[in-house]
Amino acid sequence: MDNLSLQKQDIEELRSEIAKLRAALYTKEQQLQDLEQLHAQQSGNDPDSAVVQQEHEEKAEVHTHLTNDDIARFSRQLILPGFGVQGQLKLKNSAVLIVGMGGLGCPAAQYLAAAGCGRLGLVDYDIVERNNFHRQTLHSEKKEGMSKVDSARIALLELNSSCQIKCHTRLLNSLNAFSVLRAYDVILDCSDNVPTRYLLNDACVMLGKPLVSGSALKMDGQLTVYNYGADGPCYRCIYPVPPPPEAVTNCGDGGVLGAITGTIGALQALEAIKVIVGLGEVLAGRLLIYDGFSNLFRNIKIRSKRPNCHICSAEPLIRDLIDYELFCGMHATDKDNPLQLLEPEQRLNVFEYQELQSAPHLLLDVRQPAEFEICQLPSAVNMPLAEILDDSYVKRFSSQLESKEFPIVVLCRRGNDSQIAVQHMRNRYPDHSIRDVIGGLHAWSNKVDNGFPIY
Amino acid sequence: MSVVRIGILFFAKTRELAGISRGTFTVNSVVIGSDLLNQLSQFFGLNSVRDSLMLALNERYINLNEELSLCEGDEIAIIPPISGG
Ligand SMILES: [Zn+2]
Repeated sequence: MDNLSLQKQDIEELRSEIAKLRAALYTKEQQLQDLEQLHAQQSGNDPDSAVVQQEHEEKAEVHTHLTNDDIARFSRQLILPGFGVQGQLKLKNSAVLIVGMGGLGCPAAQYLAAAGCGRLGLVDYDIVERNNFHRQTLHSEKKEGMSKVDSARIALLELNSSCQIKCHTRLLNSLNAFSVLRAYDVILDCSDNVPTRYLLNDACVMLGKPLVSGSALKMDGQLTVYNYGADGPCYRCIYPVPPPPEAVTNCGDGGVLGAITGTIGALQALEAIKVIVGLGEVLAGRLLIYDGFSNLFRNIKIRSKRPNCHICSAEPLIRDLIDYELFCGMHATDKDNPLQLLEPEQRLNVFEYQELQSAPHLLLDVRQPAEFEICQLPSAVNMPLAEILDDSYVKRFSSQLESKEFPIVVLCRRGNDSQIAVQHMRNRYPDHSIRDVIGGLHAWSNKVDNGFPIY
Repeated sequence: MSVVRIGILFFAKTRELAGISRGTFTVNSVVIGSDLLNQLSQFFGLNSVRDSLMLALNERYINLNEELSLCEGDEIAIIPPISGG
């Protein structure tokens, strides 16, 4: 290898090491924050209530007129019928909390800050990664590795330097949710996971705050305002039972187009503005369903409050925040949880597979064709998981399956789907040599071939 | 009891599971919401997400306890929650 490419490799390695250290640092900082908070709560000295106190004092200083800069800056919305000076003042005196600084949170925050929302709170525990840029439009290339809320804050202040922005660099949980949410008038659910959606719903019901809920995946989006008005339902009224974990797809696995999250995020900002200003008809009691494939918006009239709702009915069963990860059986992040379905002898590590590569074997790559097209190992055959599970592989590979000794190796992106596939195939062929590759292509890229692309 | 043919619209995960974005279904004109949901889940392979689905009849939410009177050409939308962002 020549000197230049060695240098390049060193640079890449240092970059990735620094990013990992940063991530570890943020995790520690969050643990510290949560512990400090728990300690303060138990010793009856909550630092966040001091913050709330301070914010309420700030709030006491209500803006009653617009400055010349306000008038020049917001002139195009000031002349809107129904908005006007009073609407602008309401926005200026409002505080909005945005939970999740990702594909939905970035455009939502951008339009709220630009429109003159006086105070914004940003919640996210995560750091900026390269795969965020295509949809999380406040994070720019230089901010890779920075915390998302800090990155967003910098970009938002460039748009509107008079917006007061508070960063909450933490994962929201049952312990800290009330103290974070309390100081805000409207909450935006821009999160990427089911437990956080139930947590935000329950906390908003208990605190009596409207929840502007947006979500997006692949080419689909949904939007509604929960807990608004006398009859407005909450998330649990509509979805009393969380979906089973295996039926939930996150953006990392399912993919999403930035223009889809951008559409829904911008609409969340619109609904928040309408709630604050009292403009138009708020999207409560209706669910907007967006199908980006055919660019169709549908408004579904949803139910009013469920009389026996566990949280928002007159006699709620849930009277305090619960453990939402336990309730949903999922983690409150969109990061993957590694499965452990196979016995150690049914698995190969990447080095063991590397040795096997030169010998005759069948390598089945069970990813989707679109993913297979991005990158693949030599001699890999694409056989999507669905075609393993519906047994179409049996006919197609009948000759390779004749011998019990012939090595069949199953591969996927991170080593979860490959285990599901091997488990299924071993039910039919218990004594065959069918194994998967631990950690999948990610492990291959990290440990064997740094030049192999990661997505 | 008469039988009617209704249109079915699939969204998000159910579109993938059913493999189509719209379809038709033949069902008794008078049916309980949960019964209709069971039949649709069975027929279109949606059992894995059945418990978290919302149904809408002509863009109106269906309460699963309610008795529906369906007409020829009515449209049922099958809506799973999306949680991504
Ligand atoms: Zn409710």
